Amino acid sequence: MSITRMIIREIRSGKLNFLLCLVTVAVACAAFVALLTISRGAAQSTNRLLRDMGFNILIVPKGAEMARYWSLDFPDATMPEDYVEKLSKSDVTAEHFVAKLQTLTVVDGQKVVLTGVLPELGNVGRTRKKKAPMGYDVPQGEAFAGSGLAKSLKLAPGGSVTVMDKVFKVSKVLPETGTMEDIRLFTHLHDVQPLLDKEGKINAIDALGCRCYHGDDFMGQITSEVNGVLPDVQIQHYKSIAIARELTRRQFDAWAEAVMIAVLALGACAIAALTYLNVRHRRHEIGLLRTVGVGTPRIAWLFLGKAILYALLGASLGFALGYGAATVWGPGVAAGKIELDPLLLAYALSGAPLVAILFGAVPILHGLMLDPAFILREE
Amino acid sequence: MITARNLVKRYRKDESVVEALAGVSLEVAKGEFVVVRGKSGSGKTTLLNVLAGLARPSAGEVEVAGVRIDRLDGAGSAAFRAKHVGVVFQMFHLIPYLGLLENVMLPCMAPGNGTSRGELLERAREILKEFGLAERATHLPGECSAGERQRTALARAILRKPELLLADEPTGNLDPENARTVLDCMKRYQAQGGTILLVTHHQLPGLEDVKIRDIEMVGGRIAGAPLEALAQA
Ligand SMILES: Nc1ncnc2c1ncn2[C@@H]1O[C@H](COP(=O)(O)OP(=O)(O)O)[C@@H](O)[C@H]1O
Ligand SMILES: [Mg+2]
Repeated sequence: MSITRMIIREIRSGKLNFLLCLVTVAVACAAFVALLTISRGAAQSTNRLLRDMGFNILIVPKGAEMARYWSLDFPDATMPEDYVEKLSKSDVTAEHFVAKLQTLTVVDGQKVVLTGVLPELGNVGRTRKKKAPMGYDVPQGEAFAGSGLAKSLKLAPGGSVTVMDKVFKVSKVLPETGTMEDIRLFTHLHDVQPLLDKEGKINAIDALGCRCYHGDDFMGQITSEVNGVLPDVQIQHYKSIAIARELTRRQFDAWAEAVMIAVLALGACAIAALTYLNVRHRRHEIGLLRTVGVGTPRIAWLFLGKAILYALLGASLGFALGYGAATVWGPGVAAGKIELDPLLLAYALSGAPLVAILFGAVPILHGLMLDPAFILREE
Repeated sequence: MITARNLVKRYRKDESVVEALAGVSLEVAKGEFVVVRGKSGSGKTTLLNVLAGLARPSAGEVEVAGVRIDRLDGAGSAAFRAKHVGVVFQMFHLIPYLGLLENVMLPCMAPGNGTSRGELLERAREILKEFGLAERATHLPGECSAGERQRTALARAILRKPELLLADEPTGNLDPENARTVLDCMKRYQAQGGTILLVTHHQLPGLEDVKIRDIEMVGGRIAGAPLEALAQA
């Protein structure tokens, strides 16, 4: 009688116990594989999105009250104009930097955000690849009017507009955006600075197309990158699809993690309970084997071997099921390509037996510690 | 073969203490057939378990087949049984999912004493044939009668030719005819040089023609034994 043969005979005679154990492992593995695969697909697709689109941030002087920014009542805090140059020469991963000095003023009873901008600077520090400019390259003496302003002040290319006693030639009307950008009047920074008595100063820098896709904490990363160059600024981010997607993905991940922990706990308990029942059912067998002189380690292998067997079979089945489920439902959830990771199979094939042995160990040890003389008295 | 002196076995449960063996001294020579009789609860099973190394005595010394078994740990006593002792129980204790031949071969799972698997398999078939079970080798215990099961259990106990066979009420669940068959099998084992210690509270049929030593147990002691054993314990 060899151990392997006994294990196989026992399984054949008590198929239900073995099947229940196998199904437990398969379900748990399937859940793990499906959730991990989908989560990875989602991470890849948002990473790609972050890489392709980047995200935009607003850099303002430290201590500037953000609430006032958003209410267009721009605070007085400024920073030197050459900050934008420093940034563009740094290793900060953004595609465009636009220096701005902006203020809220009134023209003919209409609120106008007078925005002086410098021609945008590309990042020369890291990418060197010059991207197409975003299009706010306003020559001095000229102005680009937001669509709202153009409508209410009846501005058209070729006309002019007078702001704070300075006359600007309107050279472009910008398309409607449906945001506050529509009441902006873009002019050259160096035209606005004298009007506000803020020569050499700006109050914001837009960094467009930031790319911190290699990390998880993209805001934290860009903040530390920027602060590494400019310690006295603070950073706000604009909403972006990439970030929204990333946040959804993190929610999914958190949820998936909770499900995986629950599945692991339930699976482990089920294994422990099923092993306990099996050991209890076979206690006379244990007593008898000890009577004929079989050592307890060898007896333990009868149960451990069985655990390894159903864990391996269950893990293979679970991997196939989980991968199948991920392929079917994954693209809807993750909006990404679902890729087969052979490493996951390796993890399943090594993790499942480990859990089965770990959680089967207590009932198995308990069975082995029973007094054989006592067990064998039982009818 | 067996030398036991002042064996005491106490079972403690909460406050109450049961003295299952209250000072048993016993000598059994090689080749003897000893029958220990006694009422239920007199300590027969406990004595047998101690002699098999399945239970450790609370006090006293016991040597079986030259091994001081009262000093063995779990692994040591398993090795001792594998080498020297076969045990038969009233309840047969066959493994339900293995055929009779496989049940007889079960001692092969324990560390061997030099006999090859092939030889043991050969011997297992021989014993089954001798016990009238050749046709039943692949049957499961559940498909066999009580007598057939007990003969299988006996075959398993003697597979490795142990010097000592311990039998606990081996005929307790058998009708007289089957009991006779099982006892005949035991007699053959003895005739081949084995030593037998059998405990029972039944009348045993068919032992008239062999020389047996009768021992009576009462209340954890051997009847008629000098009381100094009790006093020392
Ligand atoms: N594991 C145990 N725990 C407590 N008491 C026990 C245990 N095993 C046996 N006994 C007690 O020891 C006494 C002797 O039992 P046993 O050796 O089985 O007697 P017999 O085999 O002669 O019927 C009985 O009173 C029994 O209740
Ligand atoms: Mg008894």
